[in-house]
Parts: sequence; C-alpha cells; structure tokens
Amino acid sequence: MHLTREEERMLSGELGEPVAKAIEVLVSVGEALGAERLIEVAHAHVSGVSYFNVGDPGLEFIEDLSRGGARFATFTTANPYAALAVYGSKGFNEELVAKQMRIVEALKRMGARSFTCAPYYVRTPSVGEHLAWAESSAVLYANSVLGAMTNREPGIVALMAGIAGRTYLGKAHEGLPGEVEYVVDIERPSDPSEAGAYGLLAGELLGSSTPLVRGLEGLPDSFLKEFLAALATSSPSHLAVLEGVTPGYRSVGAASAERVSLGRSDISRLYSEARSCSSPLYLVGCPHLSLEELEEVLLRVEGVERGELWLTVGEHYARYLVGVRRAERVKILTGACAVATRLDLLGVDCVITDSAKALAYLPKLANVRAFLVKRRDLLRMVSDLD
Amino acid sequence: MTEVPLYPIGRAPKERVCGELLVYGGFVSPLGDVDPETGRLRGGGALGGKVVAVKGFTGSTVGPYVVYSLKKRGLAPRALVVEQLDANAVASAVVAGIPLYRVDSLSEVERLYGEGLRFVCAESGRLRPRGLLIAVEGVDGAGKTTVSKRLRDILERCGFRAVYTYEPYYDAVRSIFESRSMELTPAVEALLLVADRYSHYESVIRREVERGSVVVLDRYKYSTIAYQGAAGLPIEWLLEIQRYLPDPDLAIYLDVDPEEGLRRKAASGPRSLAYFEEDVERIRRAREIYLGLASEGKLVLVDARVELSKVMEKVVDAIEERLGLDLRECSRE
Repeated sequence: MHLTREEERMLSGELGEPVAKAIEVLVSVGEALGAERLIEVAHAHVSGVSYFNVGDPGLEFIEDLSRGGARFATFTTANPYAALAVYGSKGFNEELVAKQMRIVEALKRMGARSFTCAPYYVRTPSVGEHLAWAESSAVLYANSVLGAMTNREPGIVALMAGIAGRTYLGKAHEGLPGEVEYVVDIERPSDPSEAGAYGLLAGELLGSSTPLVRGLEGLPDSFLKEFLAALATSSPSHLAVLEGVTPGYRSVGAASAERVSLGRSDISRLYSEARSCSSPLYLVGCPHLSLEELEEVLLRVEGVERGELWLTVGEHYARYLVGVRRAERVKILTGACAVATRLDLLGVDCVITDSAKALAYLPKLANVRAFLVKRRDLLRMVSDLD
Repeated sequence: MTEVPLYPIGRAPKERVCGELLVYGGFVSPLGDVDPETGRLRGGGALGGKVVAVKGFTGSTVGPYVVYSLKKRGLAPRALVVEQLDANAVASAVVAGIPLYRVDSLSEVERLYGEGLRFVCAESGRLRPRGLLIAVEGVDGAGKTTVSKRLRDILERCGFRAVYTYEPYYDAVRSIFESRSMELTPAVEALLLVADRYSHYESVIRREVERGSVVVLDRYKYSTIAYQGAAGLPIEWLLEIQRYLPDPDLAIYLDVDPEEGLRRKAASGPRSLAYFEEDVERIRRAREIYLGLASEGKLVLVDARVELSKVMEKVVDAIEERLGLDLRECSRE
C-alpha cells in the first residue's frame, strides 16, 4: 500500500504508540481487502459501545487505548450505550452501570462528541465527503441519502480511523456504481414503519448487491432512515441508490437489472397483534429520532396506560430537553439504545415498536419478543389499552 | 513431507512460529464461539499457544476486542490461519499482535490435521508439519517405559501421530551387555551405546520426525552422560561424541531414589534388562548428574516417587508448558 510521508511517520511511532497501532490496523485491513492507499476522513463514527455487546474485552480494549494516550484526530462520534434506565421499579446493578459508564468516559476522554446511532444529526456530512462510519444504518444513510462516502467499517476499524484521521480506500470511496443488478419498486409507504418493513424484505432479496430503489422520492427523512436501517440488518451492502434522493442517482444505469416489486401484501406478515404482553415497552427511536420527530411524538402522547414508552435520541440533544414536558411513564433517553440492552433483565417481556430494524434485533440482543406496529398506531395504543 | 503454502498478512514475523495445530472447519465468531475466561473454542479445544486455522471470522464486530482480551490473558493463539480474509480477522490479529496468514484452501490444513500432523511451523511462506522428540530419562526403575508408553497413548488419543521407541535399540548391542562378550570399560560402554544411538537415530528417529511424528524416546543422550559420567568419564567427552545427535525438543527426568528404583526393577521380573549393572553407588552418582542437568534446565525434573497418575499429570504439564501441546483432555482415562 502506498503511504504518504506523514503516514509513514505515523506508522513508525513518531506520533505515539496509539497512532502507530491505528495506522497498522488500517493498513493491514486495507491491504487484505486490496485498497491502494489510505484516505483522510472528515468524521469517524465508532460502534461497539454497549457493554452488553462488547463486555469486559471491549471495556478493557477501549480503556487501554484511552489510558495509552489515544485521542481522536478527526471529528468522532460513537454509538449509543446501553439504556441504563429503570423500567417500573427495576434497574441494572451498580457494577454493570459502572462498567458501561467507564466505556463512555474512556471514549469521551478520547474526544467522542456524542453517543448516537444517527451521527448525521450531530454533524451532517456534505456530498462527496469521506467518512469512516461503523453503524450500519448510519453508513447506508450517509451513502444513500447524503451522498457521502464511507465503508461499512467494523467497530474497531472506525475507532482506529478516528485516532488516525484516516481509513483505507475501500470500494465505497469510489462513489456510486455505474450499473446495478437489481431495481426494486416499492409501493409508497404510509409511515416510517412500513418503509422499514420494505427495507427488511429488500435486504433479504438482494443479498450483498447494491439496488436501485424506486418509490421513496419526496418522503420525509424518517421514512428513509427506517428503510435504510432495516435494509442494513438483512443485507451487507453499504449503499442503496434511491431514485430521486441519492445525489447523482441519474448516473447509475439499470439497463440489464433484474426488477423486483414489493407491495403492502408482502410486508403485512411482519405486523402482528401484541396482545399477550403483560409488561410492554413501547419503543420509538431506532434509529434515534431527530428533534422534529421527537417533538411530533411528544405532542401526540397523553400518557401511558401500561408499561412505558421510551423515546431514544442522541446524547447531544440533552441540552434541548431541559424542562420539556413529558407525560406519565414517557421517558426520553439520550445517548442510549434500548435494542443493545438486555431488556429482559428489567422485567420487560415484549417490545412494541415502529422500527423494523428493532424488530429484527430485539429478540437476539435484548432477549425479548418484539412486535412491529405503525408509529401512529403505537402512539394511540400507549394511552388506549383494552 | 506435506506442506501448505501460506500468505502472510500485514507484518510477517521474522522468525518462524510453531505450535500445536487446531483446525476448525467453519467460520468463527470470537464473541460467542470462544469462552473469554478459558480461551476454549465452543466444541473444540483451547486456543492458547496454538496455530489456529479456521475458514474465516464472522459475526459481531466485537470479535477483535475478544481476541485482544485473550492475548492479554495469555490465552490467545500463537498464529492465525484463515482461508477467507475479512476486516475482522485482520483487525483481530493486528490489535492482538498475532501473526495472520491466509491459505488457498483450509482443506489442505485439515488434511495435515487428519493425518495426525498436529505440530506445525509457519516459516518461509509455508505451513510445515514438524515432528517432535521427547526423551524420557531416569535411573533404572524410575518408570520410564511405563511413562513413555502412556505418553504415546495420550498423544494418539489427542490425534497426534506418535511413536514409542527405546534404547539400546539393537539386539546386537543389548546382547553384548548381557553376555559380556567384550571387555566393557566405561569408554567401551559409552561408544557402544552412542553407536547404537547414532544408528537408531538414522534408521528410525530421523525418519519419524521428518514424517511429522512425535517420537517418545525411552532413554536418549542424557543416559550416557549420567551413567558413563558416573563411571568417571569426562562429561565434555560424552557430549563431544554425541555432538551430531540433535537435542530433544523436551527431555523429562523421572526422579526416584536408587534403592526405590532397584526395588521396582526387581519386582518387575527377570525379563527386564538393567540398563547398567545394579551398582547402587554408580546409580546414585548418575542421579546426581541427572539432577545437575535438570537444574541447568536441560531436563525437566518430575518426581516419580508418587503414583503413576500424578507422574503423568506432571509430564503432561511439562509438555504443555515447554511445547504448548494441550494434552489434558486426552490424558483423562
């Protein structure tokens, strides 16, 4: 791999051991994947922050880095941590909370700006900007909606990219493909959850190919975000070209592409009634809500009859929430992710959510049953249980 | 001998890396598939100190943290070999400082493993099976033959190609000692036994080691140094005449009192040939030489006065510590 003189100096340890290790990881990964050089990034986004995901090994690694003097050389954000909230009267034990906070503190010492799965609400990348992001939903959003360029980085690679201010020049940094193999026509979704359901199915059909998606033009940001987040759970692709949305989408050819159509009848099986929940958690905010979405949700909720409603947003919104009125049993969690939290340990038996991504991950990561409903139905259900 | 081409990823280590081979035919997710406390692969053995070959890495991107943590606890593989490279495998190897290699096909490595060639070295772009020489030494009656044969059985149970052999090897040499058809001065003894050893090495041991076998030797170089040294010959000369014989990878010295050894010898019946005449004083001096060699680190001292199962435990421990072979599971009967 070709390295600049400065990168050679970084690799040789002139700028300290953490930088040398970071460059070594990036060069090795890049060489193994056939990259020709490194590229400077404007924003790194680190995943692997929840203690439930990374455990003691992750805590140890991040703390060792931070103690060893590692500091982020570029604008860096990190994924949300475990939701350390109390559900009903149950919370997590002190040791677990302390370990989670040690991870957060170590990342803050290194310079992490916020904890969120929607880093584009912290700093919105510009078209053509090079990033090193690890959160899959954010990667798809950056590449497909904002026209930025990022590999779908493993958490540790994004962490190293933050320290080195660079990543390897992977395929994603070459921009949009000339041709796609699939065109997916989507029946216009009526709410963000439907967009997510389409994303989940599209990802299953496409495997690792990059599709051209039609039918999402002109929809609110929340729809696009849910669609791409869900697509990222079922497909390893880093990009979906969205007609009418992705900057430069017109340059992408689809002459010999296979066509797939998805309609309401395809996604109906993902919705089911959640009548057997005794301790439900209503979850809105996977991926994290924008301030506008949060405002809209808060306006529509009167109170919660049974269980609790959690609204999850980026940590950097905390300062806007001082004094915000919220109804009984409605919690706004900043910087936290309910999906990356063992909710069963809090006594939650099922989660009712409008997020197709959460639907896919909750049983595996949070160890609870999950049900998908539309956002407006969810907000009606919380105050209106039979 | 069968070798497998290897492609080093990232900074290749300058020196060769050797260890017990562990092959897992599938993709491994370090988070979930490896116990972080013990470093054991689910449904497989311990990874610590081994050359671990897998199809590739999969699963959570937390994998590199797990490998890093294993390394800090001394439970990480000595080298990683994968068929399919991905960012997680590379990042894991680099952050933990473990050499990583790619192979064209994991099945080539699986073939080595299946043939019992389970000690390998990564060197000069090749994964090479390597044989091992383990010598079991001690005075008469220390239990060398029993321990050596048990060790061979344990190695075979663990899947290694293993061979037991003994010295003196040739009947002609043994019969000289039995019949006393030559005048046996200590120097004659030494030369006869060393001649037997050179011939044994050339005709049996070398071939087995080159085939990748673990050869368990019931007596080797140190017997001559101890016994003929005890008869007053200079150690330097005894070393000199054996200069062209390789040192064993591990030599174990089973220690008993001379009297206890002779009692055991007598109890085992008339068929057994005493390696040397049953002269307690000479055996005592041989023991002192053995103990001296053990204190220099040339042999690993194992107390052989205790029951056999305890002795075997110590032997298995020494093999794990010195050679990195993980025999514990198979040593349980």
